Amino acid sequence: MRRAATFPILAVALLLRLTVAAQAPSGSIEGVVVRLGGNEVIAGADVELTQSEPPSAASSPAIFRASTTDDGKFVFKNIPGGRYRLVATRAGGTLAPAEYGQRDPKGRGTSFELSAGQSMSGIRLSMAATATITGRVFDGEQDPVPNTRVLALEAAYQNGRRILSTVQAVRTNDLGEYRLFWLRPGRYYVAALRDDFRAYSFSILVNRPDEFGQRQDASSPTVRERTLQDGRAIEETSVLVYYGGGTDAANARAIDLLPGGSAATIDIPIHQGLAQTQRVRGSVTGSDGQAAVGASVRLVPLRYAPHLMIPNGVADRQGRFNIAGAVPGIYWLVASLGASSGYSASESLLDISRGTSSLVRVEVADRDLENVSVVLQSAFGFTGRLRVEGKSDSKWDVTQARISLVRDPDLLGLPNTTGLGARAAVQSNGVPSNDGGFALSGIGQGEYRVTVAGIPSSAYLKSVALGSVDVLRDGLRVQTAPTTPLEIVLNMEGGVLAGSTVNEKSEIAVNATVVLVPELARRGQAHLYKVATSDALGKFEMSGIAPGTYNLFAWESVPAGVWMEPEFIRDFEARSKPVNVTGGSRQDVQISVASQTKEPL
Amino acid sequence: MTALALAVMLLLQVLAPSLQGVVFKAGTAEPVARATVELRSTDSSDSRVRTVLTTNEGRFSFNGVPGGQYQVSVNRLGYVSAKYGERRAGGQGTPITIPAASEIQVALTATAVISGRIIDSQGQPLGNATVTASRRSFLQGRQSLAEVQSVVTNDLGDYRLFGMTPGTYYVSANAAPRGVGLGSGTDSLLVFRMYRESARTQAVPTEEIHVPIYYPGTADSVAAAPIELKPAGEVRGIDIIATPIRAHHIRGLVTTNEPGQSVTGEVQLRLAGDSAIRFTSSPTPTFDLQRVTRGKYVVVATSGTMSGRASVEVFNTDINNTTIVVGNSLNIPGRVVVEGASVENPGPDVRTLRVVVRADPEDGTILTSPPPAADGSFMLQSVPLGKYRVRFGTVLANGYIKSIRLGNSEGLDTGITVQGPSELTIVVSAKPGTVQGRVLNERGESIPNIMTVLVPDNDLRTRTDLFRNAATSVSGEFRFQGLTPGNYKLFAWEEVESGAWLNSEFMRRYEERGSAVVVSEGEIQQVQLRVIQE
Repeated sequence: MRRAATFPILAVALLLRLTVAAQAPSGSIEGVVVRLGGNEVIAGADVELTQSEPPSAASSPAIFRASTTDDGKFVFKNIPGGRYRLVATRAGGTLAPAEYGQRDPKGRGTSFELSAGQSMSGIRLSMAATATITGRVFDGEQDPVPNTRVLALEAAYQNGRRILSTVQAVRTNDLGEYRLFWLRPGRYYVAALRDDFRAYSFSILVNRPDEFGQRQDASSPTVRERTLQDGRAIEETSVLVYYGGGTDAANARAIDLLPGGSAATIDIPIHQGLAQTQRVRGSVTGSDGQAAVGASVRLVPLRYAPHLMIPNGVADRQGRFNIAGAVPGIYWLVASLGASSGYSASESLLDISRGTSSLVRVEVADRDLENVSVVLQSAFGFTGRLRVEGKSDSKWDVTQARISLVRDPDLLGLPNTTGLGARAAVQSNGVPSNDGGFALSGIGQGEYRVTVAGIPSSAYLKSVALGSVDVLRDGLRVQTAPTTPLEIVLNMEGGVLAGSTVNEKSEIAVNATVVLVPELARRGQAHLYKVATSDALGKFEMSGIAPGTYNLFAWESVPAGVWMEPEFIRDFEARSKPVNVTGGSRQDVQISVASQTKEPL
Repeated sequence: MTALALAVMLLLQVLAPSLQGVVFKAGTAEPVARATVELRSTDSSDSRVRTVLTTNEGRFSFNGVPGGQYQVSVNRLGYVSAKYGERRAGGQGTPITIPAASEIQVALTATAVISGRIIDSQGQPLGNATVTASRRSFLQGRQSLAEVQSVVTNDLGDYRLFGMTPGTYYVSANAAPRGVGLGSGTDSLLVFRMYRESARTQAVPTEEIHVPIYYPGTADSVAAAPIELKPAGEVRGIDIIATPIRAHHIRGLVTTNEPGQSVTGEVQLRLAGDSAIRFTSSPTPTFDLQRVTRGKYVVVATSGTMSGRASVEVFNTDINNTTIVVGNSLNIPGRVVVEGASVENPGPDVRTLRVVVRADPEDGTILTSPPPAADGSFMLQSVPLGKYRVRFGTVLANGYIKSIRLGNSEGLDTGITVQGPSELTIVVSAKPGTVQGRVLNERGESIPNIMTVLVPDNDLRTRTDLFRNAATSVSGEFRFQGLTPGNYKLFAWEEVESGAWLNSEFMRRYEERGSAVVVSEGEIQQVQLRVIQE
């Protein structure tokens, strides 16, 4: 059935390409899809060949499709020369996708060049069988706990910090059992959250193995009162319990899954996840000095968790709030009025470019926090100038730049945050006029970094200053309306670093990750890092590099972002290559790749 | 009596439990231990929830509770949540007065399980399929299925629907991917954000579509097989082959007869089916609506200020030549007139009566007037030509709609047809009828928590606004106000699904057991009614 649907599409694609074939000699690509770790061929796999760089910026990439035959073979004929990616997937979830140049089932592949008229054959794409994790969630009486949310987590790096991110979420059944499935082989962690009053289908997340995803959730804590034996009443809520690690993510025990493997009896004592909570009380005053009746107040934890608890409430007729459910920790207390962009004050994304708001840092310890008073204010406006240095690409002018403030850290639950991994929904977008002048509006209190998008690849951000504050180095902390303009200098003549990746035997290393890391004093500045992946010939190129001293690192396989963690990078420092980049220069380097990171994450 | 004896008596009164009772397993004398009993005041100013656990003998007691009316609910893992006074497991409860005269009893019904496997036509397990248990219910008089619970299959295709209230269910499986999309969102969780990228650049295109397939294997919910769940029972082997079905196209053209006007450029389209409405647009007056499954639809087209609609029924082929004629919308002036108002019966305040106009048959077109002026006048803006039902946004308690006229034609019972400029007049009488009374059991006692329904005479059953329903109070009484004069029947059911009385098939079975009642303008009818028991 599936193949019948695919063939006509393929025929259309071939017909379209035939007209091109009349002008340029066309090539072909042939291969076989097998199961990883054996010779078993995979029939009925969907193989997709996509142009990774379209012939011109205006055209969309050509996509060719084929299905493997009963002997696992696929063939693409009449393919024009160009740069391509090749990937095999199969419906149903039992096999992870296999991509050309892929190093492990969780990694991505690399692009390759097909020259005009070239025939590539003997390509072997190995699909790994997916794996499962099963277990039971029980309480202090060893009774099964149904309807518990169970998360499969993967380690990732965000701004140089290790986080555990949700890749799958399921719920336990009436026997307290759960099954996490369709997992690509690799390292996982498991956590469970008792939230049996939230049995909504939205809380279930299952990606197909050909979908790569991360998710972070936040919800209001469910607070329950309990009377202790001494007669004292305390409030409690449920927090995440990690397999093997109690409530501390740092102690979570890793589960390594082999292709087709299964980890059983990953049992979780959910009663460990009962945490005592405190209240935060105070008052909100509006920008008019009156009690801010009906202001929404929420406590956004600074500490990352795959599932955040955001205690929240609404200010009463006297502007007072009394929020239950805060576990000890540091929070941003966000108060806002008229900023809700959702369907209710407590359950929505906040847009504080509207209405009035306030952000205050509070710390909750082992008792209720009293008398927190906040004053709402309207969002601020920024003016500034983008100055351009050096020779620029003739087609580019300053009005193509887009200046934004992005929350840093970009915590879930704060107003006007970005989507995870998406570039959407930034605080405010500034479009400069011809003389580089720009204005940003709707900026609320908080901590930001400045980004400039839409610039030529040769350009780098030289400096960003607000009065005497070096924003690139120290970030931008906004408390009150700025009195000086934001000065941004963009230099068009960044350095270029090109080269190739090789292994210990000086052979070409394909699909290696190459990272340019700034000198020690500037390692906190994320914008100075450059990352590239070497292609099928081991080639890579980086441009728009700010002048300075760097170290170049290369790994066969490395988790994205881990290089910002000092402890990780220290172990590879000796193998790195020092590079000195000057403005407008081009250097060729050969870098040998580290074969393995010491330990998977 | 000595002072001491008096003091002891007072003390005993204070110490006497406010409410005590026993929780047992329904249909047995077996007590249920460690059940959570919750007491909530019906007085909304007292939000405190008092909670106790039952003892090993299933007993509980609350002490020192201020007098008043309270709701009692009992929860225990493995049992249906129960309310004091409910007529069936999961039904509505009745309040109890504290201090209670005697011990109360609450029966807990054990929950049940449905389990099975979802596979494709090759017998391969379908993971991440959504399996839904539904019950028959009534929606605007039509039998439909209402989702009760849904779960997701694992990689083996296995599912378990658990914690179910015993009863009759229909199970369906849908293998369509459950998309939550990209980016950030809000739902019952406070917020979430996610990103998802695919190894593939494009999805493999297909003309097939996944729809719910009902056990034992049909896309037609009417042909679904019932599954009976007994307390504490598990019905196994509810396996479903969830094959996708072929979807169809509705193609056509949007055109107009308006002199001097033509349809060019983008048209907005709305595809309204039985259960869902889809919005889309086409860059040209020709359209191609894809992925349509069999069923009855209304296609609404809008081009600028012009709008029109067409009814389409899709069987097993594409519909290729639908023509939608669009015409200019009209502004319709209207007026609400109150008749027969007096000092005792002032009637409703016309300024609160927003007029709501719905397309007939329903296609998602709903127009609401601004609140009328003090003289009752209002303006309905941009009404597309067509047939409509007209009502107020709220049910009247101190009046009834006597007449709805567009120009000279009466549309109270049949609806109005907008063809050209005309004026809408709604006459409200300030002298509605009232029916009140009590529901009795076979021993002649008044009984609380009984669903009482007032049903209009046969020829007016399409006037759903004439129906009234309410559960009897603690003292077994009911009262319906704001009634339109005419002939009605009263029914009182011990157990009935909400909205069933709008279904003609259901009503045919009970027609003989209703009590006739004549509602007259401005009068109160007193009725005693016998409950219908199965």
